[in-house]
Amino acid sequence: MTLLEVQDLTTEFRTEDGIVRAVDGVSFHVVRGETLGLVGESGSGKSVTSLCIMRLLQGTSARTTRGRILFEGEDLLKKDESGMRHIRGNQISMIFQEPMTSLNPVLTVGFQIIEALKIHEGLTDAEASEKAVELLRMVGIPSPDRRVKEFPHRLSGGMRQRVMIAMALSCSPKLLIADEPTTALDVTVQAQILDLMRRLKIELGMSILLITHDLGVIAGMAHRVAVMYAGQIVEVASADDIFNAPLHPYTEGLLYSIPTLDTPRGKLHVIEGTVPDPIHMPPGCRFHPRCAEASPRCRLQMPHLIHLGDRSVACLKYANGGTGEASAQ
Amino acid sequence: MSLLEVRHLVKWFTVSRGTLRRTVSYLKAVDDVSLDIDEGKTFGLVGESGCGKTTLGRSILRLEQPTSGDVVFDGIDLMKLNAKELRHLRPRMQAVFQDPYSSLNPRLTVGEIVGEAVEFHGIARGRERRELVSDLLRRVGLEPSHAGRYPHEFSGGQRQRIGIARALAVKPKLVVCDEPVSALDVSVQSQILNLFQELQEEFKVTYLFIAHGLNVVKHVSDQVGVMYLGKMVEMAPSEELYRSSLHPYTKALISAIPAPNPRQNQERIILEGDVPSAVDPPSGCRFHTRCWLAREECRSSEPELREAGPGHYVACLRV
Repeated sequence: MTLLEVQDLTTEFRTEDGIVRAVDGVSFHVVRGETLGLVGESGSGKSVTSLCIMRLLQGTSARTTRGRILFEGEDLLKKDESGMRHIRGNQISMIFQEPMTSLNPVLTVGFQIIEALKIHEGLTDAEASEKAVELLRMVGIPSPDRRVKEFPHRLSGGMRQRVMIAMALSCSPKLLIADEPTTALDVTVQAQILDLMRRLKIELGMSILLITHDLGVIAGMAHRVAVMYAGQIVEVASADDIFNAPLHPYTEGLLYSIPTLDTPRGKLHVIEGTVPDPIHMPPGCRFHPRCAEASPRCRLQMPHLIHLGDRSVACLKYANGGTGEASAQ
Repeated sequence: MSLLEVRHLVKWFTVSRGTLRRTVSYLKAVDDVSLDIDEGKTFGLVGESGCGKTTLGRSILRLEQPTSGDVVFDGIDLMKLNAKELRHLRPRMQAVFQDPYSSLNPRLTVGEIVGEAVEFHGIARGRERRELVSDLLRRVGLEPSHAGRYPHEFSGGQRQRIGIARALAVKPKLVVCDEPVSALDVSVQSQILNLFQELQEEFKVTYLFIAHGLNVVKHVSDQVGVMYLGKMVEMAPSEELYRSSLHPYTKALISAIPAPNPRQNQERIILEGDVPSAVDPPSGCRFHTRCWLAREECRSSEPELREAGPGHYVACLRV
């Protein structure tokens, strides 16, 4: 059953140089209990998408011009601030890349967790502080009764990310949005945190929207994967299909360009060129200037997501075999 | 033949406290590290943050004054050189840094950044210098017309190309690359890694390639060294290290790399805890606090780096 459905989401930023459409007609859904990986390089719009879902872009120059974000059937874009406050933390929680800056440095770890519990769950001080210790234990922090009284600077990066996860899970959300949760961490600590997230997801039965640029992280975590490029979704498929039978030339190029332990020494596969300037997006398919398979048609016609069985792809190569456009469903 | 020989290199930083800035302890960033790099080869150095890999690179270049030890570069003992002699040698050993945003002077044009050292070291002047800069920019995948522009007009990947052109401009024999692709996007990362390899073939440069990603290091290196808390724990030819790693820390590092394929069911070794502080490292083997093989002896005696197979060195009491 669908928990979250994003339909045709379009968000623009006003900048000095012009309008930047960071997210352009993005549609995807997250099923209850699944982990959806949202993968893309910097500037692909993956983080803006997650901030839109949480409605955290108010007070910036961002404007959502089109689309719907249905969470359990209700459109989050139509909610007012107090309505959103019931959703955030309670129903949907978020963890960010920077565990160093996401915690308030002048408040103890315990205070920051207790605060959320009192607001959302209506617990008393005593109940909340007991629950805080329990949460820290759940995320694998040693001697949690002592750690709860400490300030964030006393904790390592991995420990802080554990605290962030404890806070995010404090009100048992239905959806956890994790935006590059392990990018700032060392590999052995990353392995610890990913292991923790896998375990908690099963224990708590929540869904995860995992946003990252690291295809290795996605492969070990996600059931399905959505690939973003220049503000659009170019391919959605099961993790197995994405990694073993990618359809979009960008997905394919991205996979081949990562050196793995099995890659022989020598030249790596390369996607030529760079991500386009968001103010001057190329006409037609946004990937065509870097695509080895581009035809003259790709320069003129923008491909839409087409469904091929249980997967979809936005590439003109497949435009004749599909079952209709996603935006027209 | 070895172009670079590092012997028992030590770099301790003092930790001071109080109004008198009394030295209370030492941060042992690099603690007795030795390595050799053959001419035209790449030595990959891996380890997690705080293991001393960056300090080792900087100490080799004498950007940091080592506490003790020897560095012999091309037959010259770098530790015996004074500032002037060192300056003469600088063109032959260069560096490329991690952050292409902070390692380029924002007030200089690309032409000035790449050409500054060329002129300073008297390699070329005037028109000749401009031609040299144009050639270099073309070689690293930029346009000669970019010489008049400023760093902020370029993307991360392009800036890293500028940094590489600057390093190569003075025709170095050794380039220390400190996490040169860590800040770049995946698709750009492979472009830059290929560029490093092409340039090595063309200019016969030797690299000390420092990175935290083992997959990246394996791809570019002939030899790989693994550091943990200031110590070299294992060192071997690249293929050998990945095929038959001996040190438990190396095994954990290799298993921690997420494989980009859900079908690949890899053995996962998840280490407990964090890297301890280098100010007060654990006694005996520094890895014993996180090691699943640790015994009583690991707590008390420090393992020596010894040759376990041809060219394969390991510092562990349990192998």
